[in-house]
Amino acid sequence: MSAERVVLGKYPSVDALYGAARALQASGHSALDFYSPYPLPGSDEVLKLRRSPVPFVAGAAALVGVVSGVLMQWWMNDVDYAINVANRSVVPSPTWMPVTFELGVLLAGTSIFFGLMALFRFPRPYDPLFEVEAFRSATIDALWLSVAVKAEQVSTVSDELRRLGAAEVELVPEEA
Amino acid sequence: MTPPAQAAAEREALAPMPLIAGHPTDAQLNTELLAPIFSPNETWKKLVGLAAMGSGMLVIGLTVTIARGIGMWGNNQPVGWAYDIINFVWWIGIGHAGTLISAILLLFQQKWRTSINRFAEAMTIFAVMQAAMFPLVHTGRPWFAIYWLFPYPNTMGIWPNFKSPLIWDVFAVSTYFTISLLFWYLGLIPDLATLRDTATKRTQRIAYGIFALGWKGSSRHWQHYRIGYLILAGISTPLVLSVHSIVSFDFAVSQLPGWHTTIFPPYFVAGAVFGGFAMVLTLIIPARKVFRFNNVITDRHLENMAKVMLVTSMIVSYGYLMENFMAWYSANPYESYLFFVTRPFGHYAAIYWIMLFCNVIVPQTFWWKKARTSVAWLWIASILVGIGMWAERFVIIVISLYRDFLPSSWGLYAPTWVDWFIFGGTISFFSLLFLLFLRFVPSVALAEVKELNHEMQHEKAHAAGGHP
Repeated sequence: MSAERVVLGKYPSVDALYGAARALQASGHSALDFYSPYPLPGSDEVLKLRRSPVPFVAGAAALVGVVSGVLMQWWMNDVDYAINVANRSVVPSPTWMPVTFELGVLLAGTSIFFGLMALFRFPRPYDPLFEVEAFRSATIDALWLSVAVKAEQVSTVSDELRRLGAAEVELVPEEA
Repeated sequence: MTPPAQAAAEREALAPMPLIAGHPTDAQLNTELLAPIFSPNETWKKLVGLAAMGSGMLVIGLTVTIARGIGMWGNNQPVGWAYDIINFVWWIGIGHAGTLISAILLLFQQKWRTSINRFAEAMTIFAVMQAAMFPLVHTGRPWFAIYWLFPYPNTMGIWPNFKSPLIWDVFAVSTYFTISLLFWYLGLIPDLATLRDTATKRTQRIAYGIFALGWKGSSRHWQHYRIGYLILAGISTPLVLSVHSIVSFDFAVSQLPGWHTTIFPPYFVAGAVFGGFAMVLTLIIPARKVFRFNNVITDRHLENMAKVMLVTSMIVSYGYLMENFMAWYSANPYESYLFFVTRPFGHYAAIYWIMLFCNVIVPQTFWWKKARTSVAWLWIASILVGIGMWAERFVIIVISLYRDFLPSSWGLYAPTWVDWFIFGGTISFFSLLFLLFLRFVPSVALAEVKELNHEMQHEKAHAAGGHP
């Protein structure tokens, strides 16, 4: 299999960007991505992205937090070192609510953050994309499209990007 | 004037002030909002020097406290809780406005939050840091605090008592700090990447590159990022309400007149938002002047904050009214004595009247647009509210404790110089952290402002009947 290369095209507007992406998809390229300084409305549909797993991760983690919160308080205050106050019924105690709630939130929140890091494969301080000086504008004021192609297709795809309105086309250097 | 032109002119006249002044491009916003990071500022240097000197007071205060013990503080029977908890509640409350702005206003799609949320979130984190110092140090031997406060397996085989609101507080505050920090950092990642890509010096590129974690603005990342950010906002909302409710339980579950009140949780939360918004104004008014952020932090933002302060002030006032009503309605002599004798005419009456003046009277000026749009008055009023909210905590804590049920255990309280050093020191240290934040981190959420800018231009183009 021949090596894959990434070609970048800079587009002047969201409409031009989406138009180019649709044309590339029609000609069989699916490894596309957009880069922009802020989230672009509608990019999920154009790129045909699947639903994000983040809500499920957060929900599961919240559940783990709540259950472990209840078990922790029950085991520590009723089993391992029982605190019997006036022989009141202890399980379940309304006094457990605050800690249970806080643990649910804590686990949900941390799982969202670290879940995102795992999804993004962050931290990743180096990426061959950063070798392209012009690409720095992707986080400042420009819209870029990337397409991964086989090495022999680079020149045809570059021409295609230009024909589709790219103001600038760049080839990402191979990973060292 | 032709009717359509007249209608357009009327629309223009009635439209609220814009959230972003002028029609800046993304590149212009970038330059303008990152300017504090790339251009040194003389005023900033002087302020940092001042704040660093002030933080020295904190070092001295804490050193004396740890070396000689908490006997160096003014609190003693019957006022066993004083500056430590007053300052703890005050600082935690200040933090709440940050989460309110960043999370609750995000869920309500209040677009004006965008320019100020980063400031407010930073304020939250730094305020919670100051707050956390007090319960930690008040243990006397903070190096043992880990098993006093957290469920840590220890050789004595005992665990924290989860029926105690003080333990709930530990969980609430540490969760609040962790979630606020992650929320803040998650919001910062795209802006740190912008900073990495804007920087021209290699050291800056590397330093910001490390903290940006490799963000490239990929749409595949934005998809997960947006939903993750929204859920974090969603869970921060009940979290912020729970934190100050739990702080209020520290008092409300006891029997003492002035503490034993069911209205405490909502009244504490409203008070926290009230005091927190005041602190946001106190900080943002000079910051926007020094760093010339007037285009994105417009007078409309300040006016909206004044409106939030007016609303929360009314909730707090209602809380004061209800406390007094219940004291009368309960016919409990101890309650009546506290509310109708000790508070208004007792030894600390002046602080009670300062509280009422600052928290009830001063915000009433915000019914007038002139007051809401006068930057000077807003700044003075915000400082008065900060003082008023501190006075409120003093009234709740000290005035309830110094006259309890038995006249034989009555006694006065006075803070020592160590109390003042620690309190003054936390204000300086907070200012120091905030100043460093202004200089080294994008202090306005760049990506969000750019997004808002595009949305607004799009809407405007739509209204004019054309395409952008």
